Amino acid sequence: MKQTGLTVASLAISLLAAGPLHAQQAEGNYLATLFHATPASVPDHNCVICGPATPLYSPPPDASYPLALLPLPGANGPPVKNCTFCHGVSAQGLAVAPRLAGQRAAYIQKELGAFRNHSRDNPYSALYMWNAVPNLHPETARALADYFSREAPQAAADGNRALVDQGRVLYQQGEPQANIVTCVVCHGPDAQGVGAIPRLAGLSYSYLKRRLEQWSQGYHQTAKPMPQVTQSLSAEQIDALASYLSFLDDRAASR
Amino acid sequence: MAGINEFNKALRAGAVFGLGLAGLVGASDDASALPSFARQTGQNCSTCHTAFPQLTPYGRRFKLGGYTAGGGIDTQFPPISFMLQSTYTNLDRGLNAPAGSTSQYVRPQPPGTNGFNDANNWVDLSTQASIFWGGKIWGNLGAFVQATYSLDYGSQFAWDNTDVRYAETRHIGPFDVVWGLDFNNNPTVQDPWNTTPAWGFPFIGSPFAPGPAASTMLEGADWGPGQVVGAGGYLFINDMLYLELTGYGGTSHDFQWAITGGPASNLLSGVAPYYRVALEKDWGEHSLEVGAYGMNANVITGGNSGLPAGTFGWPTDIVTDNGFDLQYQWITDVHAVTLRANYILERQQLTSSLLQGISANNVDYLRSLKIGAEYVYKNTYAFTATYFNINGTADMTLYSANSNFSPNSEGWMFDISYLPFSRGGPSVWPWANARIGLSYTLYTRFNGGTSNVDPTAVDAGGANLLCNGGSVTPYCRSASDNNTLLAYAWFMW
Repeated sequence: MKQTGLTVASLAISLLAAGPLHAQQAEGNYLATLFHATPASVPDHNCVICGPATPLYSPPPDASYPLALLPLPGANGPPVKNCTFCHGVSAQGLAVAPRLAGQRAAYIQKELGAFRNHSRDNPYSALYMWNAVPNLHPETARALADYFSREAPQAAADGNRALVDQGRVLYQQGEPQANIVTCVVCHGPDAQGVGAIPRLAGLSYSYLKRRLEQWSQGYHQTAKPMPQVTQSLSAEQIDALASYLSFLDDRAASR
Repeated sequence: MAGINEFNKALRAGAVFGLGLAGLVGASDDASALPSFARQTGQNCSTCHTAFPQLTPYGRRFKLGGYTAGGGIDTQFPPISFMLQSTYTNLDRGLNAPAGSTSQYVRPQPPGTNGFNDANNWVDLSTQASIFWGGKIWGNLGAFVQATYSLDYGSQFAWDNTDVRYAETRHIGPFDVVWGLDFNNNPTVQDPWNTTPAWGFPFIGSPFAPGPAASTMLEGADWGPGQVVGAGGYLFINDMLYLELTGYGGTSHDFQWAITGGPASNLLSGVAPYYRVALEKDWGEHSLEVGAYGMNANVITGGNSGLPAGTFGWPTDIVTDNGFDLQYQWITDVHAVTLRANYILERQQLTSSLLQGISANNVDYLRSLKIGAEYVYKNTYAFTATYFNINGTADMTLYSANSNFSPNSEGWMFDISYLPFSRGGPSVWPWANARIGLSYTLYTRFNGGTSNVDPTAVDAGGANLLCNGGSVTPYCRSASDNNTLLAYAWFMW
């Protein structure tokens, strides 16, 4: 046992020691390999753990694309911790809570409003989010939305790989004879969203599937035109769309 | 010599009884869905608990984040909560020996239960009454502190479960790291999974019912709240890998008298290291955890009662626990299933006990297995079934009162409960919570035997003389006589 304890201790210590090493790598080409960006677009001062004093990132070629994991805001920043104990430390989504990282700020704000007026009445929304927003000041909501929209999203990649091609076709072309419109028209070629239209790329399979199913079940009817759009989707098509989108890594796609 | 023998006998009885009572008191250690947490976060109890105190993935992160997440009403009122547990206990067979019996069966009452001298059917309206300080203190510092008035603790207010932590979040390369410093007073009270002993099943126990004499160090109450204090640090990486190291030290004799209602008979010597490794994978409505933990302690057995404080150079027992746990959860807005498994392997190097005549062997092993399933419907109706099995090395001195000198006990625990306020309490105090339930403990083996398990009625071979052709009226309690029905009402506000 003592030996085991020591082993664990040394493991923990080496992990601690590993932290700064990774940080040193991050100053070089580490971020580049991580985010598939060219080293040139990641200047040396681009240190992700140095705190807010250092510039977080210089705009990459696709300026709207969030590159870095932001450090948590200080005491005067938005209360990110109130969100991340459910949505995950860097808001990549956790259990049934969707990813917020990289989501469009206007969409986040709109949804916070929908939770507040209960128009987004999906079961998990009612269970968790209705209680999370009544005390949220509009300024705080805006700051939180802005913060999360600038966090770099990671693709959940947890759908059924076999359905990806079917999902892609459906996403890009729809199915006119079945009265299914294309998704690409509003959500964009890489499902990156725009304005109050949400980014879908890389959201978790289970979240996407649940949302697509629940419009036809009568939930969140104010989110026009989604209740109409999803009406004609079969269970298999929902599966395919959710699978395709969960793998869609818009970092790669947007280059 | 006679004096020493008497002393050893007393120590043995103390050790066995202490262990038994430790089991009892430990079992009734309580957990909570703290109303002050609900006020702070704005969330219902059901966000963090399937049926309190069982945590959800979100509850575990709220805890690991230092109890500091907010989102609720901004009140100047300190995060104080209250708890009351009322119980009714019925044993399959009362504890009084039949008239004319010469059995030396000792009614296993906890200390301080004066006034409950009936043989059965105990009603106790205030089994435990607690006050909590639970929530954010400042910035990244938060706490869960419980003080309990309980008959278990000699009818006094005592320092109960405490977990104070500072937790920060950093992004280090590709890793999201929550790191924290933790101070607590009960090994595993800091753990966020309900497989480990402090917050494990059963969530509530009866202080009146006899329990198995043997329990592992981490499951027993020798290192209960206030007997030890621990400080350590932890890392939670990518919402997935949890690593923790904590060191525990014993508190002083005087401190234990003052604040815990009396010291345990055993004394912790030096610093006992505790480790925890766990991997949790969450996907959609599913969560799976697999982990290991353990503690290594130098113990002066009987040190608190047998030795003057500060005795130097006395040999110690070395007790090593290694635990392995597994938890699976499937949680939707309607159903919540939790499967829990926990196995602790304990090695006791009994150098000190052997010398003192408390044990007959130099090394004893003790193994404890618990496997359980819980189903909760709409966070309101909870059904739980758990199988437990304690077994280990027979020791004719340490377990002299047990059948075949064996520590083995085995059985089932069932619980049905109703939690009316998990998704919001009455409008006057929406943060209130309650759990009203019935639990039944069924023993297929108790202290080494299935029948004739009366302590102190065994001969040198471990057989119960009185029940095997003895000439006097036998008492002859069987394992199932200790089956316990517990009805409880548990309020938090």
